[in-house]
Amino acid sequence: METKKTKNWKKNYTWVLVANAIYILIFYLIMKLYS
Amino acid sequence: MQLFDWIVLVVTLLFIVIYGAWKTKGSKNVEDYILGSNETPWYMVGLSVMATQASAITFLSTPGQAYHDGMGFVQFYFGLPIAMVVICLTFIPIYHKYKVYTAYEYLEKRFDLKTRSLAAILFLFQRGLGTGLTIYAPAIILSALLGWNLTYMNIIIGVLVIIYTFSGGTKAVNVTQKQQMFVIMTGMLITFFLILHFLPNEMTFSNALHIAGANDKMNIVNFSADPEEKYTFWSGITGGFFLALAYFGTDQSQVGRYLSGKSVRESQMGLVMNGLLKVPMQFFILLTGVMVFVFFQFNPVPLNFNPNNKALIEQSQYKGEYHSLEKKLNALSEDKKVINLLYIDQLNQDYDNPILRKELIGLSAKEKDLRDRAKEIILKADSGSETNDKDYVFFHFILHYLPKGLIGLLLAVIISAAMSSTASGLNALASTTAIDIYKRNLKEEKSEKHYLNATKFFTLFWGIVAILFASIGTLFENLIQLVNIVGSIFYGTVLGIFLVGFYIKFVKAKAIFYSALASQITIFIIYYYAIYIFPTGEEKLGYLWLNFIGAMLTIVLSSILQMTVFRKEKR
Repeated sequence: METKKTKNWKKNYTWVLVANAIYILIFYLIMKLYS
Repeated sequence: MQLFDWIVLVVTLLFIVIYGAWKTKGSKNVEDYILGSNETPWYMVGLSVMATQASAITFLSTPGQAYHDGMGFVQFYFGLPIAMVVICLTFIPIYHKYKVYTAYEYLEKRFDLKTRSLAAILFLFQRGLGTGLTIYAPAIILSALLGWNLTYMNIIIGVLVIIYTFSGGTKAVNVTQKQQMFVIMTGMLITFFLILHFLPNEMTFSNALHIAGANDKMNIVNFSADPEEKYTFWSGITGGFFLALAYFGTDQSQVGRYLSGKSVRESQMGLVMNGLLKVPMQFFILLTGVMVFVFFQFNPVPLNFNPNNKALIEQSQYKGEYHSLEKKLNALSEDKKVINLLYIDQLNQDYDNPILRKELIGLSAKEKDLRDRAKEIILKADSGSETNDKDYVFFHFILHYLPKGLIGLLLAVIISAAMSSTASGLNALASTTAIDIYKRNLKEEKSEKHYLNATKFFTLFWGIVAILFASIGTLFENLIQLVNIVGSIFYGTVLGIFLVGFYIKFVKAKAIFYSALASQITIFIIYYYAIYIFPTGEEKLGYLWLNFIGAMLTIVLSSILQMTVFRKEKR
């Protein structure tokens, strides 16, 4: 149970990084489109 | 400022202060006062962490930064989410495990009293200066723009913060920051949409971005490895990561926010929220600045946004020279307006005309040249003038173009931001002084009531120190720079001590203490030879790198010392 909880948490943290990677990708696309 | 603006401003600020003080009055003990009885839910932790970092300068300077240099500054925050993950995985569980009131308490449990006191004193020195600045920096800008008395502004902002921070401690800081963030985000969103509304009718949002792009404002991500470029993807990911790790992981003004969380999980969720929202929030504030830039492509724009510089020129022999530049800028603005309207017209017919884009770039270069010449004239009139006007751009727009009532709301935004950062600073300074210095050095154990009163007394004491420091701020020419330097000089070493504590178990007390001292002295030397002796803009090393170097030096030196000189030390 504890291991499962920890794993869920680590997945949450991964999502923070994935979300920010998506932000950067969107910024890059906006830059390419408008610069 | 009209009567309605005053009503909006005064009612908003007084409501926050009175509600915050009333809702959280009557702390029973130190745990209640410093940790908020560990009752704070995750979203309040998140809001509080974000409100603490977002000072008034964030909302005054960042749009101005985007106005002049574009969106590239957002890269400075790219390392922050990674730091949030590291803090969630390591720092928070350890702080909760040891049930600490302050971050520095952990250092005595892991090393010894010397190391705890060293870190606490470095923090008090740095944050004591910084908290004075969070009051002074917006006060000086608002007093220049509105003609208000600087000392009265410092005292009013300081006293408002002291009232609720003194009365309710951490709970009051958290409760008021929730409302302050609401005011801040509402004000910024309304302003953003109003700017779009003020743009010419035929202009879409996409057209506005095209105009910003044609003027070099949309260079958001820069993958250049050139160390002389200030904001790049790489400096954001590395330098920004170490700075965020030091700030959120070891600075009590932030650690205090998430230590008040209901549980480890709630504290972690609060930081996850910060990691998810911080980059888009900064992007939005910068985009607001870029939209102000687009707005000024169709409206009259001053040569220099700082009204003090204009007043200085009007009383100098260079008045005529400056006025002739103003005339040239007005003519140039008219040309720009015509070309921009033509460009939009063709964009609406799905044609991104390269000739018009080139012409816009040429006009922007001419405008920059005029502004640089204006700066030279200002410096001729007074060599000590601050010619960088980025702090004044956004508020110039607010004062001259926002409707009645909204100016009051935006002033409430700026002052709320100043108050939220100041409150966290005072709360952290009081906790650290009471727990790490006062309580730890008392010979005999005192009652809970005694420590509660002592912490309240230190809140009041640091509040008065912050107001005094803000009031003598004008005596220091480069105050903001001074505080930034002080921060960068000490953060690296303190972060190094914590990282060794968490990750390098074989390093003991003596090795860390002496390596921290050696690292700090080395940082002073590097600072002197690579930064201090060079004029601004020509430094050989960016301040951000001092964080990284300080942390690495402490880690490497302490490991070497433990394996050699202190190898027999077991504690």
